[in-house]
Amino acid sequence: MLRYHLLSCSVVIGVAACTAPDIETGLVAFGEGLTAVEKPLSPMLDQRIAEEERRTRETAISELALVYAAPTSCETLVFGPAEAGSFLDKAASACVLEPRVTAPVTRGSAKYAADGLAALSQYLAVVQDIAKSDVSPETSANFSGFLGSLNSFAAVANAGGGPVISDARIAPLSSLIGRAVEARRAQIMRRLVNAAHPEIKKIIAELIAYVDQSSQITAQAQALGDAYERMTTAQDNGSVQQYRAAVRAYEAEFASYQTTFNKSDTARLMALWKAHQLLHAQVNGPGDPEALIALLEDLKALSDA
Amino acid sequence: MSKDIRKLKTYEDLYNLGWAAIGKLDDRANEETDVNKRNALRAKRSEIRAFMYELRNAQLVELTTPTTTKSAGDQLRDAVKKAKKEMRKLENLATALKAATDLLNMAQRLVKLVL
Repeated sequence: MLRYHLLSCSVVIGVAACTAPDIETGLVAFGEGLTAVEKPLSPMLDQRIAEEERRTRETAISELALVYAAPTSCETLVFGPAEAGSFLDKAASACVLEPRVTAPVTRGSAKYAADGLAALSQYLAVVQDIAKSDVSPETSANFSGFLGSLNSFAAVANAGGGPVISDARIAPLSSLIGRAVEARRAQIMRRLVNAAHPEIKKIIAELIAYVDQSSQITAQAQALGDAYERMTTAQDNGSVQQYRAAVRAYEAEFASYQTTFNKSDTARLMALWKAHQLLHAQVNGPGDPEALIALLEDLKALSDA
Repeated sequence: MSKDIRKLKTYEDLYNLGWAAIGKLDDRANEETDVNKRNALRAKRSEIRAFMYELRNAQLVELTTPTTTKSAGDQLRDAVKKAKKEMRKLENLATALKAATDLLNMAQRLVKLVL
């Protein structure tokens, strides 16, 4: 089981009162949120990236630009065997189609969206690594071993001089070092999550804008609001028959929008953002249990959709 | 309202202001029994809501338009890189202590041989 506990220490380490806010739920929610986003979005982005590359290549062809590098690696494969490290020593995996023109990573492109998504994955991996790191107990144990060895060395080198440090003090000192390292680990984690927070917001905002181009969720939300306005207008017009019809139309529009939205990338990206808000809150304080319960319910609903 | 808008810097500020106003107009319209007044309140609500979508659509275009500024993904990678570096430093501390212990143990064996 990973240790997702973060020490929160203040003032001087030696006398600090340390509490351990649990960030496991925040990390798990963010991980689940990211998986929910990636699962449907990644294949779609791969497909679009391939299309962007194809278009870039077509443009280059029309300009008579060289679109592929020479297949030297593939040709030399049949000239073996050769000594390791020599020019001819190639693995079959070296034989790949090498494009000389590639689509640029510009905002609004699938490549840019995929890059943002990849950055989120890299971020999650590092936050998890830091959270599960056992550097503090390891440092504590190594320090204890070091002091023990120091005493043994002193005993051998300086017979009769006594230990450098009394055995009774080794354990408390090692524990203190462990706590200092733990506090530093907590600080690194907190700094990373805090520095990442605004960037994650931007990445998610850009991803939502990117997927909206095809899903048109914003236009659908507007249509829902329009249906509501038609209903209130019918109410004000005073015709029960028209009003009843408008109410039915609004109900249908609402059901349709809700189904579409819950299955959308936008919903999953918003859940991911909520998860990071939770992680951010947990790293900086105790977090909000009600927000957590609501978020976990959302994530469950989105993964069932 | 336009005077307020000039002071606001982000889309988020404008959305917060606009949707709060829509909520208030909704509440007032729902309490209003005079149909003409209710109509007027709803017309104002509708106007602000249309403006919200104009803003959102403008923001969506902005968020998908190429830019020369460093991408948020790269900024995030920078933060990750820095944290990894700091964490490695911390891990090196544990390794250094282990190395020092090994060195001491070796020195101890040497001393035993010499003495």
